[in-house]
Amino acid sequence: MKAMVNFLIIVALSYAGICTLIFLLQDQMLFFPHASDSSAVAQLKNWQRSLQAPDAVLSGWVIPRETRRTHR
Amino acid sequence: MGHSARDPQNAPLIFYFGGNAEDVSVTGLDISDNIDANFVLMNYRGYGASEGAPSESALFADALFAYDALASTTVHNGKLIAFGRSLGSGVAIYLSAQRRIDALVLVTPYDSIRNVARRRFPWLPVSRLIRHPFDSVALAPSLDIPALFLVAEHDEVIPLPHARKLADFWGGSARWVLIEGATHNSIDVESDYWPSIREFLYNQ
Repeated sequence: MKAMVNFLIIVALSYAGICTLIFLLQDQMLFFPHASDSSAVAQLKNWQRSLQAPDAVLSGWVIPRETRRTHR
Repeated sequence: MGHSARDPQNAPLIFYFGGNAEDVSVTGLDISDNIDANFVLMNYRGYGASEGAPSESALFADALFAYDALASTTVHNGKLIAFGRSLGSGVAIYLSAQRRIDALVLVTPYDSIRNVARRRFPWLPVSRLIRHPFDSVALAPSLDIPALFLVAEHDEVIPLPHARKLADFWGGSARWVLIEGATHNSIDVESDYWPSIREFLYNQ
């Protein structure tokens, strides 16, 4: 009987511990902040500059698609 | 982060909200390859060069801030579009509930993060634990706006029933496009992805 009670206490504490852990870590589970791809930022800035220049070649900045994939 | 169309006065203004690990500076390149529109892309707090920490309330507040700062001050053709992918679908829907938006593009959306978490952890009291519910389905019936639902056949992150429920509750017209063979993270490299978005946007 005592072993059963101890077992139930362990189960209850484990469950409470998991709940607490998920409550505390949910921000890390939902959001994945990261740094910007600096080359992509530079490419976008170039794009903006090219739009403001009437004679700019608009497609000159395109980079290979394989290098741009990122996990969502 | 802003991006201008080739002919800004004749193109819509699109507010883009990315997924939970998305670098929108990379997305900006994809978008400019595929859609000729004016875009506002914003790294969430804590993402990229943005300071602070992300949360539901912070993301919602920043979306409203971006809209209020840019919707009436930038050049566009008068059409305002919200575009949300995955996590960002909840932000796009919230923005549409709070401000004038003419159409929505929702990629791999969910009914609510709470419901997705319930499915993943059925043995946990998710409703009591979750701090960022992103309850899109609660807003859906009141949104009489055309929406494109672009979903992946094999979405392993947000199972299809969650997107389907959101579409079923949607108050406006809902165009449902299932990308066959796609997963949550591969949907944007499928051949039907950008054509579906272009077709929807150009018909608004």
